[in-house]
Amino acid sequence: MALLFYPETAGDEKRIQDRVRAIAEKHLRPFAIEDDQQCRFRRNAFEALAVEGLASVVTPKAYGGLGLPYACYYTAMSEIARASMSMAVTVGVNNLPQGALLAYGSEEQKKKYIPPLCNGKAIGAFSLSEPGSGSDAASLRTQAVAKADGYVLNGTKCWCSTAGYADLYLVMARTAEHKTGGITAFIVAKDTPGLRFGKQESKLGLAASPLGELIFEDCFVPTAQRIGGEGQGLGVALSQLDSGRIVIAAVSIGLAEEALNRLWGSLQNFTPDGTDKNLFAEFYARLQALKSLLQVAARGKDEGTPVTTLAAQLKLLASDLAMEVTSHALSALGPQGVCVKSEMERLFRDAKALQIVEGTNQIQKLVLVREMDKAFK
Amino acid sequence: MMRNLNIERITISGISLGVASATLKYSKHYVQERRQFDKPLSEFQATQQKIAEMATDLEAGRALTYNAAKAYDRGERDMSLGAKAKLFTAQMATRAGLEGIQLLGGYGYTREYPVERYMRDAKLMEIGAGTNEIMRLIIARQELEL
Repeated sequence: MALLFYPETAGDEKRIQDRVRAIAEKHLRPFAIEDDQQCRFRRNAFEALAVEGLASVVTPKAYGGLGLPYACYYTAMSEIARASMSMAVTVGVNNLPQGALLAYGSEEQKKKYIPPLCNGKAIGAFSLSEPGSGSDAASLRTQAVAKADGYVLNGTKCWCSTAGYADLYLVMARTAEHKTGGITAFIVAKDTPGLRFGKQESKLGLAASPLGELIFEDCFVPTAQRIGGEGQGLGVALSQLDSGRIVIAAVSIGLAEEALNRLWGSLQNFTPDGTDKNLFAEFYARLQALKSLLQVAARGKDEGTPVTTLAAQLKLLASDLAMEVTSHALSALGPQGVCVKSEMERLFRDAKALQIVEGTNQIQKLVLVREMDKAFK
Repeated sequence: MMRNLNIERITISGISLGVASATLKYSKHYVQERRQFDKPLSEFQATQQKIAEMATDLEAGRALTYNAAKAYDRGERDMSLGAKAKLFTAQMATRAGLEGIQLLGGYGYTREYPVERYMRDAKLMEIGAGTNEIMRLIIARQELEL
C-alpha cells in the first residue's frame, strides 16, 4: 500500500506496514491454516498487535491510541487481512466501541473504557443485529427498561463478532417504541450478571473469528454505562458505519492483493495449461484504482468531510473485487488451489463475508441510489 | 478415452444443474419468508433481479447440457459440446451459490443453511474433470481449428 497521493503520511504508513508484517510473520501466518480448520481465536496475536498500538491506530494518544491519520489505520487493516482476515475482523470490530465512545461518550467513560481497548487488556465488540433485524437494523427488539440508576436488558442479539471472547460490548437496545428514535447504546462488560453467550455460528469462512449470540436475561446495566442520551443509540451505531465500511474496503484490497501475490507465486513454479494471465490484468487495474480511492476516503475521514457515499462505493467495489479475484484464482490454480495448503480456498471463503458484512452490497447500492437521486436530479 | 472424458464433462454439467437448482429453490423459499423493512425480501427489486438472473442462467445451462447429452447419444464426435456445457454450468452453479448466499445474508454464510455448501460443491465443478481454463482451451481449439 505505497502512498502516492499524500506523501506527508507515507513514512507513518510504511512504519505501520512493517510492524504489522513483523507481527503477522510471527503470530498469524504460521497458524492461519490450523486456526481456520480448528476455528481457533488467537488472543495472543491480538495482544501482540494491540501492544504495538495497532488495535487503536486513529484513537487519540490521550486515551492510549497512536493518534495517527486514517490512512495509517486502513494500511494496518489491509496488512492484517493479508495474513488473517479473521484477525482483521477482530481488530476492526475492536475499533467500533472506541469510535462510538470518542463520538458520544463522556470524558469519564472515555478514560475508563478506551485505554484497555487500546493496550490489549480488553477486546471490544459491537452488537446491533438480532435474529429478525439485520439490514433493517432499527427494527431491533432487545428491551432496556429504565429503573433507578440503570436499565434492565432482556433479549437476544446475534451475529456479534468476537462474542464470548471480547470483554466490552457496545450494545444497542430499545428504550422506547419509536423505531429509530427509541434505541439507546450501552457498554456492557463480559462478566455482567444476566448476560450469557448463546451458540457460536459455524460458517463458510472467517473461521478464526468467533461469531455468536448475546443473551440478556434481566441484565442490569448502570446509567453510567449508557453511551450518549436515551434514544441516541442508532446514531451511536451509525456513527461507526462509514469508517467500518471503509475498513471492509481496506481488508478487501488486502485480500485481493494477497490472492494475486499467491497466484503469481504459484504460476512461477507451475503454470497449468490454459491459464490466462490476462484475466487478472483487469483485477490488477481495479485494485490500483481502489487503493487510490481508499486514500481519498482516508483523507476525508481526517478532515471530517462526509464520506458516506465514498464508503459505500469503496465497500461495494472492493468486496466484489476480492470475491472475483479469489474465485478466478481458485479455478486457475486447479486442484492445487482447492487443497487447504494453498490457502487460496480460505481467501475465497473469507472473501464472501466481505460482500455481506457492514451492510450487504445490496444495501450499499440502496445508499448509492439515494445519493444519485440527489446528484442527478 | 476422449469419448469418456466427454461424458464425464456432461455428467459434471448435470451435477452442476442439480446444485444450481437446489440453490435457486432454497433462495426462493428464503426470500419469500424473510421480512425486513416490513415486507418480504421477495418484494425488493434487487432480490427479484437476482432470482430472475439465477433462473434464466439455470434454464440456459439445462438446455446446453441436454443438447450435449443428446449429441452424445447420437454418437456425434463434437467434443466441444461437453466442454461448453461443463464450462457454462459449473460457472453458473457457482454464480448461483454466491448470489444465493448473498440473498440469505449472514444466514447464508453459516453452515446452518445449505446454500454455502451448494456453493462450495459448485466451485469444485469448475475444477474437477478439467478446470474452466482447460474447457476454454478445448473449445477454442475446436472453434479455431487449431
